[in-house]
Amino acid sequence: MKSANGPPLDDLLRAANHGDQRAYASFLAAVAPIVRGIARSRGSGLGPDACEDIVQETLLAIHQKRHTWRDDAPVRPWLYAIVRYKVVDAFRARGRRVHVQIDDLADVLPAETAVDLTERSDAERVIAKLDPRSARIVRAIGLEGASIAELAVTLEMTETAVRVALHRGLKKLAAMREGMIE
Amino acid sequence: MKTEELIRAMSADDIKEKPVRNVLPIALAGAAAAAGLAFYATMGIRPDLMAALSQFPVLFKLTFPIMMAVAAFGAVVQLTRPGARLDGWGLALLIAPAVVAASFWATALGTPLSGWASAITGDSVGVCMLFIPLIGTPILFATLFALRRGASTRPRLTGLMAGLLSGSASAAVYAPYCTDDSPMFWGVWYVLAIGVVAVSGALLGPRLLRW
Repeated sequence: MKSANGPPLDDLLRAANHGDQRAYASFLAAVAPIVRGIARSRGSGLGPDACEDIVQETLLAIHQKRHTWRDDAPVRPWLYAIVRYKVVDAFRARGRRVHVQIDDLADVLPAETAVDLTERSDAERVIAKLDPRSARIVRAIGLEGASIAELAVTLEMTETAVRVALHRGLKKLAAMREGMIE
Repeated sequence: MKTEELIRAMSADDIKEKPVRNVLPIALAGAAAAAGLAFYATMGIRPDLMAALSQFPVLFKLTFPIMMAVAAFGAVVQLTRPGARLDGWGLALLIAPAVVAASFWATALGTPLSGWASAITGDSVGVCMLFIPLIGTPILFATLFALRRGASTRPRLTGLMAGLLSGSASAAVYAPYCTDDSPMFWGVWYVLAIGVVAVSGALLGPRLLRW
């Protein structure tokens, strides 16, 4: 099966696992509309902001758990199982029960347009809680498109230290999202 | 932060975690070795172990927990991969119970009914029911913490399988100490003791395996 346009998700994630960052970005960008589609179809009363929060929460979970996919297995059963688990979980955290079947995910109408989250979004609240250096690295790479090498120079850190700080920062973001659910 | 910005940050993060399949054996072996050393340092191995090994029931007593642990290991690793199937591991889980049941009945049918009670009770029910869960506890926690690296979408079942793995590993550690060799003994009490650890795993799973 193909993503809307472009190479199949399997190829993208396989390339990503071998270090191709652009393939990984394309993979996540292709997955986001699927998650958004299912979140909106289930959460009509939640509002687009909360739905986008759920999209981000799910993408972070996919990112944290990307090592649980085996290269030789098809990616969609893996992906849909994660999306289903996280979307149901995210709705539960917001006091709602939703049902998501794996078949619904295969049939969902992808929602391409994201909303711009406001200052009050979950993402902003949790980034504000990161240690200042990790927060700065996550923002600089995400918002300004800075590279690891550039940041290493600006922050007077080694590239490895920047990579580790980014990794830990994202891990913490995912964990804090999870923590908000408790 | 916009979603596309989050994606950009995530795609720059190229550090990958180690898979459960690589981490779990280390956690498991470490905890089993530590618990086993502590146990044997205090209790000592059975003196007639070498002689006992020539008897079939003893061989089965020593090996069925290992067979069970291998199958539970395979199954639990599959359970930490979203969307993965148990494949052959579901069937593999049945091998050890079949060995236990066959050993139990083979012995039971050769034993007069009046001797069943004493054969089942043996000499060391209390010790067995105490130490298998006790040795199993650190193994269970090490296993569950290793499994947190995975992504189980069925935490209760995964916890149960982790408990089965830990209880079986514990029984394998304990078995060379135990002198109750009748399958009518270990076919009941080892199974119950492993079951205690398995149920503990099922209770802890939903708490410890969330992600």
